Amino acid sequence: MIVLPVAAMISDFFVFLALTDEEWLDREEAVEMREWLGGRLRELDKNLLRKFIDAFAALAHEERGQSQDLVRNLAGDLHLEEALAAVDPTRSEERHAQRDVLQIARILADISLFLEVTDEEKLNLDDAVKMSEFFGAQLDELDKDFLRELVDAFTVIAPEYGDKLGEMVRDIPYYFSLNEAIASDDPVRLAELEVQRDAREDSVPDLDFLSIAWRSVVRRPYLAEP
Amino acid sequence: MLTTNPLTTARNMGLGAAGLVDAATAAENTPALKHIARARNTLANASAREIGHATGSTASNVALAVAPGAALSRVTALRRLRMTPPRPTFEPPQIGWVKENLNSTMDWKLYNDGTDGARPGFAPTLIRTMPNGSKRPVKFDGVRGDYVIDRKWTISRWPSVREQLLRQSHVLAEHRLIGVLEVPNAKQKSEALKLLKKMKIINFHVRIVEP
Repeated sequence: MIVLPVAAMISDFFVFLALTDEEWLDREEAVEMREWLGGRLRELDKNLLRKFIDAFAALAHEERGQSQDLVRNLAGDLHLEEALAAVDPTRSEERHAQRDVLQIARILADISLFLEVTDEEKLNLDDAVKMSEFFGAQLDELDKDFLRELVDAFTVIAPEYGDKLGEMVRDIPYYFSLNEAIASDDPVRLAELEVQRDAREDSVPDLDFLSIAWRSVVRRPYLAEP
Repeated sequence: MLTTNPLTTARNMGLGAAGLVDAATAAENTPALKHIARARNTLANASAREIGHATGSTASNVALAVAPGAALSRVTALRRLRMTPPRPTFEPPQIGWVKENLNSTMDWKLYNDGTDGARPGFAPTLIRTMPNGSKRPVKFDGVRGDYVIDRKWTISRWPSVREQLLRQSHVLAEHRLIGVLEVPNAKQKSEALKLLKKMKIINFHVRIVEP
């Protein structure tokens, strides 16, 4: 797995959480989300976590000003080195590539859902859309083989998020047009996807009101169902 | 054109009222109906912007000023003229600028920052009046005359994108402005047009602006 671009997406989101003005993003909400994602990162397999720590250090060089400090201190602030040092005797040391992808998928899904369902009182909706757009653009540029694995991974992890959120996680490839990104060199496949997509859109009535109904029925992803 | 009150004199001179004297002399010889017909034509053919930006000397006022006596006797025509719906005035858009801090040096951020009328570190906003009377800001990327611009690197399919378009469409309608979606290529333009059509949004244009 090529870690750097994924680490870039995650560090961009941490910078967003830290630097977005209080007027547009509730401080407590930002801290809670940061803590949640920190926990996810600390649970990564050791080899993968090592790569992320190195990637954050490398990415810090490309940042400027406040964001440079933030990214440089990210591993320290999230206690990632301590997590590396901690030994979990119940866990097998054997690396499972598939498990890595699932863990990455969980982090990316958490970020996508945060941007999509967080209430207007806590997060300015225009900023959320803008950030989600950046996030989607970064996803589009990931290596295609890795993207294929990610698309499958979202389906695998979806049940962990409950009913409504799980449905959204399963649809992340649709919402971000990931299958189209994978098939960008294949016009036949692209045409197939277009037909499927049109069929899906046509079956959804009252698009404008339906989208608004989402917010009243979903909960934030990091209030995980027991 | 001297009147007894110097303030009125000054104001009338500012309004170009001096020309009215000559016009009035000529107008006395022109039937009132013709005045009113001309005024109505001028109103009908002037754009709302022309009328709104004019310094108060609307065609109807001129017509009434030059031929008041004669016009009073033409009640039907005058009443028709008075019933012309008032045209909206077109003031410059009420754009506010709020601090914005979306950090990235990548292509898509630069694309957004490159919008016409964009100010780095700030987002242009319009204030929307909600159904309950409260006010909420709606953010855009840039401004160009009466067009408010939103740049989209990609049109994603999340519900929030559609909600945003609805919010933007509502606030644009409230301020009587037009929105422009600027996208980087033909594919995104076709996506944008499909979405606008699906949502029955009519106050947005779509334009390709290559990055």
